[in-house]
Amino acid sequence: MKRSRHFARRSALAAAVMATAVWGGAVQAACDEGQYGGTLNVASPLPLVTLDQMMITQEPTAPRHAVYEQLVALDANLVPQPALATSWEISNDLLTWTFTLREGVTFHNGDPLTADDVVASWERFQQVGSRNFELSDVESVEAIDAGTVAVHLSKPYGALLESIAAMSGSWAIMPASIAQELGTERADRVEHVVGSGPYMVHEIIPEVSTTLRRFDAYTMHEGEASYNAGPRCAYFDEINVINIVDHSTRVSALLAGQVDLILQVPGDEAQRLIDDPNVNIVSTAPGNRVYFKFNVANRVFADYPLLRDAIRAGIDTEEMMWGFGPDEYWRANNTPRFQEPQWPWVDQSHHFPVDMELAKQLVEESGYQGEEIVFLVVPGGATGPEMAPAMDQYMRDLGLNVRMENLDSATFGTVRRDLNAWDIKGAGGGSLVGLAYLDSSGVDRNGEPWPGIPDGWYELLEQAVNLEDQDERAAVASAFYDLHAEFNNEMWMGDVFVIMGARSDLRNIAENDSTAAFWNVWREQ
Amino acid sequence: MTYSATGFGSQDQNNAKVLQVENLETHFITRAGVLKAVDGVSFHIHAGETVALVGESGCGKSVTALSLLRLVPNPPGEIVGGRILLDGDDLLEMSQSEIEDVRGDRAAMIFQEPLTALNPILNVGNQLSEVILRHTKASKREARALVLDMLKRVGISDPESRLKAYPHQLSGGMRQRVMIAMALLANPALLIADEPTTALDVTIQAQILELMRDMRDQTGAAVLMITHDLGVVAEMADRVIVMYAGRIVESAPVRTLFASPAHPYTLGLMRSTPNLTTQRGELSAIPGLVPTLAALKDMEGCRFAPRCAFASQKCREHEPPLENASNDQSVRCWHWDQVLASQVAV
Amino acid sequence: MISYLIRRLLGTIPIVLIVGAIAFFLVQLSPGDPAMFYVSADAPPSEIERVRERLGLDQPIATRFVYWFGQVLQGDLGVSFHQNRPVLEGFLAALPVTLWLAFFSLVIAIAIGIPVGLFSALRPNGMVDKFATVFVFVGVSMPNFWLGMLLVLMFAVTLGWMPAQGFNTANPWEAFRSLVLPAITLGYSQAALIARMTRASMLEVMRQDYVQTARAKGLRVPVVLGKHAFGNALNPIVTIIGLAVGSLAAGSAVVEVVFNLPGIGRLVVDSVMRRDYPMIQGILLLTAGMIIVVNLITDLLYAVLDPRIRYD
Repeated sequence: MKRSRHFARRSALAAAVMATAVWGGAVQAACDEGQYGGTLNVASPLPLVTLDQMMITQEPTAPRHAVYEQLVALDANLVPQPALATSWEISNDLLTWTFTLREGVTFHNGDPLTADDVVASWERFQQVGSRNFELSDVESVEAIDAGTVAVHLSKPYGALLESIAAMSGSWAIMPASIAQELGTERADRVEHVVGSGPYMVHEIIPEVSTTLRRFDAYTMHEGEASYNAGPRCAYFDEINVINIVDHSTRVSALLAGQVDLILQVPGDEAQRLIDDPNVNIVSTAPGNRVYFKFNVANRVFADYPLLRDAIRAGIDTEEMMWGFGPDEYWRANNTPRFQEPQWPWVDQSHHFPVDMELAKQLVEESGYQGEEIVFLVVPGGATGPEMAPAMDQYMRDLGLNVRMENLDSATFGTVRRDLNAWDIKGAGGGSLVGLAYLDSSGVDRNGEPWPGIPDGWYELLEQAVNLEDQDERAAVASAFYDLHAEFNNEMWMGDVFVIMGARSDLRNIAENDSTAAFWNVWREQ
Repeated sequence: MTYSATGFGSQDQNNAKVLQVENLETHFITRAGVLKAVDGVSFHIHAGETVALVGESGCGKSVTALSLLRLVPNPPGEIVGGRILLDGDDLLEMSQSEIEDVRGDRAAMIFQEPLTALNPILNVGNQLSEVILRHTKASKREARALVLDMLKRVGISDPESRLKAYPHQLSGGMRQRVMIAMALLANPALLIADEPTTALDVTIQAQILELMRDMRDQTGAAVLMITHDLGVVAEMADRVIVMYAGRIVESAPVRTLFASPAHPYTLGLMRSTPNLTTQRGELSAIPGLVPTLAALKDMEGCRFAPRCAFASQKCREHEPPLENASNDQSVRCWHWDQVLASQVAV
Repeated sequence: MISYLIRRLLGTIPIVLIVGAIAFFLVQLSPGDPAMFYVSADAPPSEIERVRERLGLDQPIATRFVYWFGQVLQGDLGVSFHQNRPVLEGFLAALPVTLWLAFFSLVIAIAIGIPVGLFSALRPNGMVDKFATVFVFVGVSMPNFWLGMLLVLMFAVTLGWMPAQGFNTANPWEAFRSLVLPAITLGYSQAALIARMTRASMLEVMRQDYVQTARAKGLRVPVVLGKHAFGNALNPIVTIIGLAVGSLAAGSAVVEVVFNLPGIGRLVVDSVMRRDYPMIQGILLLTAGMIIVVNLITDLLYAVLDPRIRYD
């Protein structure tokens, strides 16, 4: 197998891998390790209305990955590994990638996997894929023979594999007949949700539950089980995924034994899990990064740039993070960690000193006249509301005229795009953003570059993407820290670990995977 | 003044006393203190006899009537003393269950306002037959037959169809006939009628009184008639008891009373009542008001004294006892002889 | 009676349509973009525009209203953004849970509320009445979700007698068990209201002459209370039960969310959070219709309970 990693310069400022994911240790699993049988009940705060891997993005990902497979899959280091493609080659002009398909794979409906299925899936993905913009450089996908597929690019794209392996809204492979039948329709009904993964859909009750059953004809992948890649052993006969919005109810359901595994336990509910001997708390580092974003295009922070430095100078990151509960479940860290985890030079020591006197002095010097500062709180658990009150108080202590706005997520999504409507807002996302962060910290929500980006920003980005030498990359990264600090359009607070809860008889839960992937997990009888 | 005290004159005084009330005391326990609504009332009624209990509103006559069947709302009302003997059985000694057996069966009541006294959401047949079903072992069918028969007896035409009627669908007179039927269904020994004609038109009043007389004669029940209408008294009663402020102030056969009232209050009542022979200017009101029960608490002398033309210092200091003015007339007044004498003078 | 019924039913049509129009504009003019839920957080504006187009949100609001209203007049409530199926289908899938929950909580509310009201009316300021006052006070002032959480902690987590959440349709017994705690949670506050109304109404009726007549007939206390007094006290009680039925049929959002019951109430909350316009509009329209029908039934019940009331 020939593997080639080659980062070509990325053309668009579009984002890349946005996974709430994984770091470090891989999960070892050979499928004879655990005990088979039983039903696993999983509760998520998000409804699983559809399993259509191409179309939807804001749902639990694990059930879809248990059903669908992609050509390549991300491992715990976010490195694409073989999945339905066992190997691939890149042409010398970097414009054609040729994938060899795995042999003997069957879909849940019994059809064997062929290149035509991959092409048909691509055609549907082009129409409906919610992340198809990442693959806009793909000109065509061609079936060379039954077991070989070629992807033709209009220009070189180094992150092609990462984009193919995207965790949601991605190019999932389904039988050609189904891809064509569905067209732009969402795959919502059991007979339309057909993939090649270790579990197949048994029943979908919208807004209530989705039941998966083991797919006995599943073709195992080689290698080491790690995040979405490698062997995936279906120990449980049945997986039942339900949606419990209310955090407290979700925890109660786990404590009462109604469910075995729950996603996203907020810090203030963690104690209930700790107190109960029958459940374990699974803290999945590094979790979500949380930070504040300044509006550097308009209004107060554009008019008085020094005010941004003032806020940074006096902020006590740790104090902000206490809003997320016991300090076992978060890490204060006020540098942007934009490095990929596989890069060895992770730097988490870049802390700014807290100096309230300096902060007040900077407010004086900034020329700020007491204009109203609109502070948008980012809605949703574990990324912002928890620390908003402390932030609000801190800015008031600095003598700023703050108006804190708590909006629901639909409203927030609209308002944050209006650069005349806010000054500072909470933000959050997956911690391991890598390339995505490098790109997105320089653009606003409308995809426009922020005005006043320092010279050299784009050059450094380009180098970071394309340099092969790790030491040189480290130097570039360090230079980018300085630039980022100088521009100061974002203030990083740290990471909130995503807490899961599990019945204590579950084994082999991937501790570094906040998506609660349930393959390879079994129950100790 | 002449009243035609028709018909029934004096009944056989040797008849057994159906009802004997001794020293009845009914109090209302309120935040303002204990109010003595009925204060030591004693009287009796023979079988077939009609006794009228008269007095102004608030004198305690209705509370007396309710007390007889222990229907005074409790709280705040409470019968604190005395005896009520119905055919020798003391109603006040009875258990709740026993008194419920007596009500509607051995002693029945007719109320003042038939529209409100009948249940608006139950039809007439239902309200009537439940009396029989409660107090006898009759089947529903038998009860229905008895009800129909009684409705005929009280002069209701087309009783079959009336059974299904609701009270609001009947006329006032009809409603009171239903009330009377209801009271007589179980053939009670004692019939208590609380202002049975007050709410009715004059012509209907006469019909109802006639009906009541007929019924009394047919059943031989003892009747206690509560009224403030001396016309009704003259029509119906054999004997009259006059109450004032919770006390009996005079008791006499109806003719005696009308001919020679011995208590100044009775006299006042008569002078304030018009009749066909009343001359212009002769009608006079009793000055002042019935004292409130609360005001009575501290009163020592005769309760009527403040309104009384005959009152002396003695009256204001000592309450007179109920004493015999003649053989069959008793009166609670220090000066009853003056009262009688004053009428001769007129 | 029949003509009255027809008149009333015809009268509901304009009301429902007005409710529909108000619902449409309230929902669609409120801030927030439904497309946000069908794109990834870093989607470019072009992708958002594409989703808006798919959802029909690229049209001006007036056009959308005319189209939607026209469809509604033809009995078509549209397709839910989120569930990707007809609104009516989604509504009908959620309705049974809510109706069962409403039924059981109403049974609890009536079975507790009316006796408590009756007994406290029997002896005002007596011991029972004092306990009832506390019961009512707690019932009307305690937030639903709090009681729900306490019950879950007690009976689901600690004792394990009842499920903590969800609607288990495996068999009728499990389904019933799923509804016990939510029905108690929801029924308690309604029971408190019914108890208060029953007490007040009974006290009023007990003063009436016909109750005295009933006692004078020698009727036993239960008959006096049950047949003569209670029958007359029912009108205001029926009114308040009618209001309760109306609000219960529309779903109790809080209780359905806390107990994770897939009923109308939870559907409303979720749909509002997701800005699922067709679903919110449809639910508002349908529940408005249901409440109007419940009100009509309540009005007809008055005539059944009291022969003096006639609709002609």
